[in-house]
Amino acid sequence: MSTDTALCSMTQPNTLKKTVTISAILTGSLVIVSLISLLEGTTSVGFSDLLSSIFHKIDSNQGSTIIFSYRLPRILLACVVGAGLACSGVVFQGVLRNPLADPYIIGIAAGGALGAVVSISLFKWNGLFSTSIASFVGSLVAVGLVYGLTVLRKNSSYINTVILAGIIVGSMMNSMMLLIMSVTSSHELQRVLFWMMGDFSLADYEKILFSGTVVLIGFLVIYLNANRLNVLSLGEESASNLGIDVQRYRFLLIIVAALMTGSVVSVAGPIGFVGLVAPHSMRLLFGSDHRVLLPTAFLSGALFLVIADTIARLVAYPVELPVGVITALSGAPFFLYLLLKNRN
Amino acid sequence: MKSIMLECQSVSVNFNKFVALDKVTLKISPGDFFGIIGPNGAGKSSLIKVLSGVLAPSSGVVKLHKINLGSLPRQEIATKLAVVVQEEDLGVGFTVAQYVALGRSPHHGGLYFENNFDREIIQEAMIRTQTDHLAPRQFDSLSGGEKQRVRIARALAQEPKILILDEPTNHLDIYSQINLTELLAQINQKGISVVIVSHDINFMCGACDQLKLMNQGKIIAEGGSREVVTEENLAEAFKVRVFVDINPVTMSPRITPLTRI
Repeated sequence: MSTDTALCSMTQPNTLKKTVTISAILTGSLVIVSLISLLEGTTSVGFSDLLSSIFHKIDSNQGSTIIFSYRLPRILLACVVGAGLACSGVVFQGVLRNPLADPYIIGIAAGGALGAVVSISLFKWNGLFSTSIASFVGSLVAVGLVYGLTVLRKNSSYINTVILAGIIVGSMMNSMMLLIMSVTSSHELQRVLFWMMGDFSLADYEKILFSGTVVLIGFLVIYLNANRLNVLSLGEESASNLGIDVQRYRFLLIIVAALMTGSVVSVAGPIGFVGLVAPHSMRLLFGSDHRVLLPTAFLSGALFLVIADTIARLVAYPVELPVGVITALSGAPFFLYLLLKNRN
Repeated sequence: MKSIMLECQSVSVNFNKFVALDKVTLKISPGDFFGIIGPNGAGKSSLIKVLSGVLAPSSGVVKLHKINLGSLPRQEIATKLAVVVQEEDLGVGFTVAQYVALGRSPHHGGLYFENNFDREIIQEAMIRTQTDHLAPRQFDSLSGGEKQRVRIARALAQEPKILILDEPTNHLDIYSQINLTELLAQINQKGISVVIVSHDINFMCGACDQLKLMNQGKIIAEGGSREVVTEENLAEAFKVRVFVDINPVTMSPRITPLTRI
C-alpha cells in the first residue's frame, strides 16, 4: 500500500470511537435526567431518601412508594417508548429513503392504534400481550398498504408517494378507529380513551418488561444490520450492486421496525414527533452513518421522552398534561432550529 | 487465448411482449476495455443489469468465472464486479469518505467497523480518483463531475476485477469528460476490465478502442471503433444520417449528425 495509516485517519474519522463516545455521553445524560425526574414532582424526594430506599429496602415509607411504584416505572416506560420510536423512525427513513418517514406521519402508528382499539373494543381482549399483537398486526397492515401503494406508483416521485400513501393510510386507519369507538360501549370506550391519551401515568413493570424486551431485541437485530441499512439508503440498484439482497433485508428491517412500533404504541398510546426529532437531530449533529445514528437516536429518543414526560408532570401542576402535547410543542421548534442551523 | 471472467451466452430478456435483449452473447476477459453504444431503448441498461445479476435473463445464461451468476450470492458477485449506475442522490446524507467506504461492504457482514486494511483501500481509491481532498464534504454538495469520480472511487473500494459504467458522461462538462477518460484508462492499466455503456458516440470513440453497437436488443456490430462507427451502421441503429470522419488529432472516428431518416 502506498498510503499510510496517519493519512487514512485524517480523511476517515474513527467511527467506532465516535459511536462509543457519543453513546456514553448520551447514556450519562439519560441517567442524570432520569435521576432528576425521579426526585422531582409534586412531592419532592431527597437524594438521601432515594439511597436509603435502595440500600435499606425500606418500602413502607411514602418516598419509596412514590419512587418505585409511580415514578420509576413511568421513567422506564418513557425510555423504552422513546428509544423504540426513534429506532423505528431511523429504519423507516433509511429503508423507505424518505427523511419524513416517521412512524406517525406515514400512518404506521395509526395502524398500531387501530389494532389496539379493535382488540379492546371489538374482541374485548384485556391482556397486554393480545393488545400488543393486535397493535403489531395493525402496524404491519399499515406498512403493507403504504409500501404497496408506493410500488404501484413506482414511476412517480418516490418521496411524495410515501408521504401521500402514509397520509391516506393514516386517515383511513383513524376513521376506522373513530367508527369503532362510536359503536363501543361506555366501559370499553373509557379504556380506549385512557389508552389514546398517550401518557405514562398507567405505567407498570409488566408493560416495561414486555415492550422493553421487544424494543431491545429489535434494536439488536437492526444494529447488526447497520451497514446494510447504510447501503440500502443508497437505493435499490446501488444496494444490489454492493452485494445486498435488497428484498430480504428490506423486508426484515421493516418487519422489526413495525414490531417495535406496534409494541410501544400498544403500551403508551399514540405519542408523535419522537421518531422524527430524535433521529434527525442526531443525523444533523453526527451524520447519516447508521452505525452512529442507530445507538445515538435510540438513546436520544429515550432522553427526549423522559424530559418531555417530566415537563408534562410538572409544568401545569396540579393538572398533568398529555406527554404528546409536550413532544409536539418542544419537538417542532427544536427540529426547525436544527434545520436552520444546518441550512448550509 | 485469454481466459473469460464474465460472459453471457445467448441471453434474452422479455418484458411482457417487449424484447429488451435478443440472444446477446458477450465476453469480458482480463484487461478488456470496450464500450457499448446504441440509441435509447436499444437494451444497453438491460444488458448491464443482466451482467451484474440484478436482472435474471428470460433465457440464456450469464456466468462469472464459469459459475452461473444466478447461483452466486450477491455479496460474492459484488467483490468481483462493480457497477457505477446513474442514481438519484436524494437524501443520502453521507460524507464523501463515508460514501466511498460503502464500497467495502461486500467484503464484510451486516455490522463492521473498517479495519486498517479497509481504510488503506478506501484511501487509495480516493487518491486514484483525486477525491481525497473532498473526504469531509457532503456527497450531496458535490458537482456532477465530482460525484461521478466519487462513485468510481466507491466502485474501486470494492476491489473489483470488472468495472461497468452506465452513461458516465451524463451532466459532465468537457473538463470532467477528459478527466474521466484518463481515469478509466489508468484503472484499466491496473488490470481492471472496464466496460462503458453510453449513447455519447464521440466520447466513446475517444475513450474506447473497441466498441459494440446495439439496436433493438441485439449487438449489430462489434470491433474497432473505425469498423463500428460507420454511416451505414449508425443509420441502421439511430435512424439518422450522419457524417463520419477521422479526428486528425486522436485518429478516432468523429460523427456529425445531419438529418433524420
